Amino acid sequence: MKQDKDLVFLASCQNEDLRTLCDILTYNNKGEIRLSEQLTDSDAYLHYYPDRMNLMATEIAEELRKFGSNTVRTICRKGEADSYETIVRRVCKRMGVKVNDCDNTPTMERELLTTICEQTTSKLSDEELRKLADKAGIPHKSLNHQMLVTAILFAIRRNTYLLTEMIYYVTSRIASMLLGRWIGMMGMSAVSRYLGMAAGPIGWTILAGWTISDIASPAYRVMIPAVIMVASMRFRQTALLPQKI
Amino acid sequence: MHPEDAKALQMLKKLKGFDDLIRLMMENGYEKQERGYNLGDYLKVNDNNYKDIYQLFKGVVKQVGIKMPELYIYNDPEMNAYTYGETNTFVAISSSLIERLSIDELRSVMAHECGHILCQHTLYNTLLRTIEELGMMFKIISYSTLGPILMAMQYWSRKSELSADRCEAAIVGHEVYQRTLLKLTCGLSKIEGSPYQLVDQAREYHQMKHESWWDIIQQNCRIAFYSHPQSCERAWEIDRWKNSWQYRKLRSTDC
Repeated sequence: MKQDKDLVFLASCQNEDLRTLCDILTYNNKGEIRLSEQLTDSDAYLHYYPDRMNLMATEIAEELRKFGSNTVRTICRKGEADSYETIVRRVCKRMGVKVNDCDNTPTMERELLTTICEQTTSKLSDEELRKLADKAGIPHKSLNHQMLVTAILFAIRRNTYLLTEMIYYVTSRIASMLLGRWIGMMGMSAVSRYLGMAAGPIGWTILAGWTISDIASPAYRVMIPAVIMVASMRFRQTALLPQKI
Repeated sequence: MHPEDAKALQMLKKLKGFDDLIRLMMENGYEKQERGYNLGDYLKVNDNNYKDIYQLFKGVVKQVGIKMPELYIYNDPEMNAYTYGETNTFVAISSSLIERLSIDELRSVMAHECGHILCQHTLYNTLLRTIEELGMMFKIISYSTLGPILMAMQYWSRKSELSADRCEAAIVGHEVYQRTLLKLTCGLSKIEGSPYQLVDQAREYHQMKHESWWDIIQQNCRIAFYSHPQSCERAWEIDRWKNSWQYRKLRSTDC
């Protein structure tokens, strides 16, 4: 299978993130091995899981693309699965995220993440929204519920830190829900400290609604969390890079 | 557990009711028949007769972490061992194994059989045997109708052996595993050359098998109804697995 340009960055991601992505692809939320996975019996998996995951980034990328493609079509194309860009586009369509035909993969991924965060925000209670507004430094005393939602939604679009924080909880909740463990994202923790936001209001409400039901549907129960995970990994790499420098 | 075995078991477990039925059949029928057969014709090993072998077995059982099965020796020039039972388990070892294998190698075989008990292979293995017997007893439900199911079950059976092999290698280490397998393959009490020669042979076999599509089909058809994987495949699988974190972890905790 040819290397996918949109997934080359996986090789430079953190071990723990890659492990989470790998686990999403190979095990279901009951801890049972996925029937259609082909990764766990590969030489790369035997050699590098779980401590040297970046050395098996190519295999993870291939597995991801195989999961997102039609098996028969892949065989007909001599094992060449759909590109990651096609898969992301498909996932966006499934999740009701509006993307343009000319959008590239990072743009679509960011739109996907933003939409998830926005939909989650609109499901938060008034108290949770006010706590969130406090943490984000949005004055809210004179705002009613709807105005507050609008203010936070606007902030998510404008404020990278707020978006980053929400993405952290989305991916954490996915990992927690699917794999029964929280993922530690060092870069995310730094942002978290900067904003001083607590896990409370957002963490447990995220994915409570439509996201869970979408993940639970058979065809996309692997691809949606996997794409969200890849998207958040890329987002972190690009969004937090200037901060590191 | 080998991932392919885990997948196959997962699918088998989805056949709701089948496992309960087989468990019931085993508990009230097969297990008692087998125990009667063992007590009738085999030698039951305990602390009063072959104390060393029994102690060796107890050690392996403790390491694997299963309930103590009964141990029997039976008279057979063919080196073999088997296990059976879901609630009352036993392991039977042929006399030639005891005569021709070293202590470490005997531990290896015991660990393999205990691995089958640990992974609960006997339950689904009984289902496989029942299908085979149905095919032989009732000609209407012949192999032609049960063939595909039987082939699928044999595929699982081969993968289940790989899981038991992993248990074996985790207990005794990959070198002893390879040596034992080599002796079981050639049937000789002494081996010459590297204990890893079956791994090299596996590479040669894979090369030969993948020369053309026709070769792949031919070889796969040849082994389609095998209950055990070929020796070189087993050697090759453990040689790959020895590089994994699972193996390192199991060996470092001295399972």
